[in-house]
Amino acid sequence: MAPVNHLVEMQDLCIDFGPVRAVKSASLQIDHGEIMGLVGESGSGKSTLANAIIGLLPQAANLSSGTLAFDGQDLRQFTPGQWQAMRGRQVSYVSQDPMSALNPTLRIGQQMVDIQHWSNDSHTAKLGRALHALEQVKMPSAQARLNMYPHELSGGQKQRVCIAMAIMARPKLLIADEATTALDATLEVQIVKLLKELQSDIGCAMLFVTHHLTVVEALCDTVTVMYQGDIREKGPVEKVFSAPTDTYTRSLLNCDPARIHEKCRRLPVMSDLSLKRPADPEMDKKRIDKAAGPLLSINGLDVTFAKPRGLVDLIQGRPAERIEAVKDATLDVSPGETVALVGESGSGKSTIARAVFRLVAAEGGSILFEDADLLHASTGEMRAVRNRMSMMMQDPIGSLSPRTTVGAAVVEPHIVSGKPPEMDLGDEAIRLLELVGLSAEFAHRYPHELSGGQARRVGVARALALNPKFVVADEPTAGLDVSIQGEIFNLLASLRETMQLSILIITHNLHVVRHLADRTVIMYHGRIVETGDTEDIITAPVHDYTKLLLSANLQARF
Amino acid sequence: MTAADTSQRRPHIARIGAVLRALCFSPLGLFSCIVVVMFFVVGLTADSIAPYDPVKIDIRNKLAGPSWDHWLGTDQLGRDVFSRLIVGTKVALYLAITSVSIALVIGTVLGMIAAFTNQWIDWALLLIFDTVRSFPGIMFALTVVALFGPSVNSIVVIVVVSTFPSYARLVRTQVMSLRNAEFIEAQRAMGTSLPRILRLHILPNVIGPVLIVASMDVPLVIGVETGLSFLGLGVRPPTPSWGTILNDGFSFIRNTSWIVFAGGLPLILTTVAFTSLGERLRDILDPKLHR
Repeated sequence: MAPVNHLVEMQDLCIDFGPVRAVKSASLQIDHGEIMGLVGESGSGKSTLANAIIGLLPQAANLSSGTLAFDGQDLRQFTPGQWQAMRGRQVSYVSQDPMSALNPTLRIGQQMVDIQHWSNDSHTAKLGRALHALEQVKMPSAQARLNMYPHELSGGQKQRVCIAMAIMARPKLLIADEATTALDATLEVQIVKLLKELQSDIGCAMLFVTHHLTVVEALCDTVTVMYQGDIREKGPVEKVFSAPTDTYTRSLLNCDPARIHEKCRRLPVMSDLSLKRPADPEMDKKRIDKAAGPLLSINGLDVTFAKPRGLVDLIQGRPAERIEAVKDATLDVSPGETVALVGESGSGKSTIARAVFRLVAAEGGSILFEDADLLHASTGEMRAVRNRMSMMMQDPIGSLSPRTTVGAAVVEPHIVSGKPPEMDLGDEAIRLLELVGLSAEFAHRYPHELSGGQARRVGVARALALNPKFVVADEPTAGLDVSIQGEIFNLLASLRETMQLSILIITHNLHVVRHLADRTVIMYHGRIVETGDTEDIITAPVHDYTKLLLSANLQARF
Repeated sequence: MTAADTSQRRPHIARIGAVLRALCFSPLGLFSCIVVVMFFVVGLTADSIAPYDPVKIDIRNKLAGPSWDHWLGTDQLGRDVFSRLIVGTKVALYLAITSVSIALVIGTVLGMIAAFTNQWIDWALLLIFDTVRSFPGIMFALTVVALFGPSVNSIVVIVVVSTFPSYARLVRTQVMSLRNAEFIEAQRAMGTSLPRILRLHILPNVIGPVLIVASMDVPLVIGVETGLSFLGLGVRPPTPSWGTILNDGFSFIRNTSWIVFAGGLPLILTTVAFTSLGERLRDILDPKLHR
């Protein structure tokens, strides 16, 4: 073997899942102390590659050819015992979901002591090391956190704990698989800053797997781009991002909504970069009908949630404690207008939408849609209103009933609202699928047979089945790859032009909002803190939270 | 109803085929499939395939050993044990189907009600389920028999009452975890009525585990019948049932032990078959085990 100079040395590595080759002869070197970004769409094989380095591939995977070495040791010859000795000590791993990565029944301190099984130190010494690690990840009041359970921490704090656990053994390599994807934009910035500082303190190499290009640009030294199991391009971040040589990399960079700074009417997509169209203010003005008065008008809306009471409380008639989810929210949507409701998770933005659809009960205020008072409408009146507005849920696949075919799902609004007798549901399903750019054969598929982008299209089709005037889109592009985000964006943009739709977009991602929304409403801790034209908010934010959100979202450099 | 609805059905049938194939692939699965099919076939055609009249007394031929004429010999009244076993399957099948399906329907409906209505009804139903479950089974059985007399239908009542809470509990927990799923929320936003949500979107997602528990309950039902009949509280003589055959054989176990063995064999076979069928089904239908 060649003299050891790389930490990870991968030569022509192929990984097969049965007959499917997930990674096609990949060659990769990671040096000591290098931060490498591994970028690609879902299904490109990037997680498979990362898992191969730490030996966490599923049973069905087979390293069929090539070499894979870590610190001069041949990983392909490793016994289970050797893997165990290596994981957590020389290589550690931070997973995507901080919510489920910690054991909910053990205190943080206990978990951090437990994973130091490699050490023969006393319990006190291990606890000391855990405390030191928590301080290193800048956990506020670290001492007290040791005695807390995971559910007492916020998402960002949990991810800090996971990172603290990963660095305790001073590993040579830290693998972070989409470690910031589940976090809000503002938290993401903090975690990326933290990782960068830790890397310079500890000096470990880092493999950062993500589909978020902005994060790679901010954090990494080198970047490797994967597409369908192939490594398409690798090199220093500045070079790859400024002058990509590979066509795929170039398309990927070009169609990332975060890198398109002028407002667009259509975004470029992977298959057709020429699709990009600049915004047309005249058309936007024509689309919005301000004169007719607001279509949806929310005034002083309050929503509170009761904490669940026990049997004893109920019998004693003790009133439930209430948590304010939305406080005094006021919001208008004109016919044809697109309004974005932006805020971090837990800020109450989804609760407003759910109150409009009466999925949660409002405490006070009013919601008027056309002339109907939605908070006091009877079930029958509400049913009539529901024919004119619809909602797209956040999770594209999870919002489709798992045992209903796509064809049956998209026409369901017709059945629920009592379809006209002359309508053929089979034809109607095909019409709706074609409206959102899916072929008729999709009618027979089940939700789990769809990709995220296809499922999102089905969601759009179902939302548009009854020709509504108003659609709520909850995180329409969340969890989708950059290239698919553009497609969904274009779909919504063209539909609102042809169908005279008003759209309320709920999101924490400002990149898509700035192209699509006419007006933006910023929410923070259940209150609306700023409202205005999207361009004004982006160029001249007033509220401190808006400024913070903008710096987190729109700056490429942290 | 329409094209969309029929297209919804077809893939289900394909999936049932795939499950059956997976079932028959393993030796134990194949064995249990065969036994279960035989149980149904024999139970349905019992009267026409039994070689002798199961209640015909032939006192001269009593307690005869197995022979070509009487494969499993005769009992103390000279009745053909083999024929009595076959006709006894009829009682076992009737009990298994009626009591398990009644318990399943009651349990599923109450479980869905508990999960989807207000807290008070939920608590009231839970209290009922737990009270019933904590009541000693044999005491309850004796009470029912004392009130209604020993009969097949008393056994149905006993089994239904003592097993429906486990279905209800299972369904309630499953529905609760689905209740806040996004696809249910999407249905509510569309204005779908509660019965339709329950029927089309909740039921198909909870019924799998319930059917598996049901298949494991079948041997329990047959066991209860056998036990009660053995105590003389179940099926009235001269109607043959597996329990009464065991009871008869037990009295003569010293000199003619084959009757007990012959009576116990179908009981053991169906118990093993239904239990392992349930376990195999659970493994095959659990999507997590495919990854």
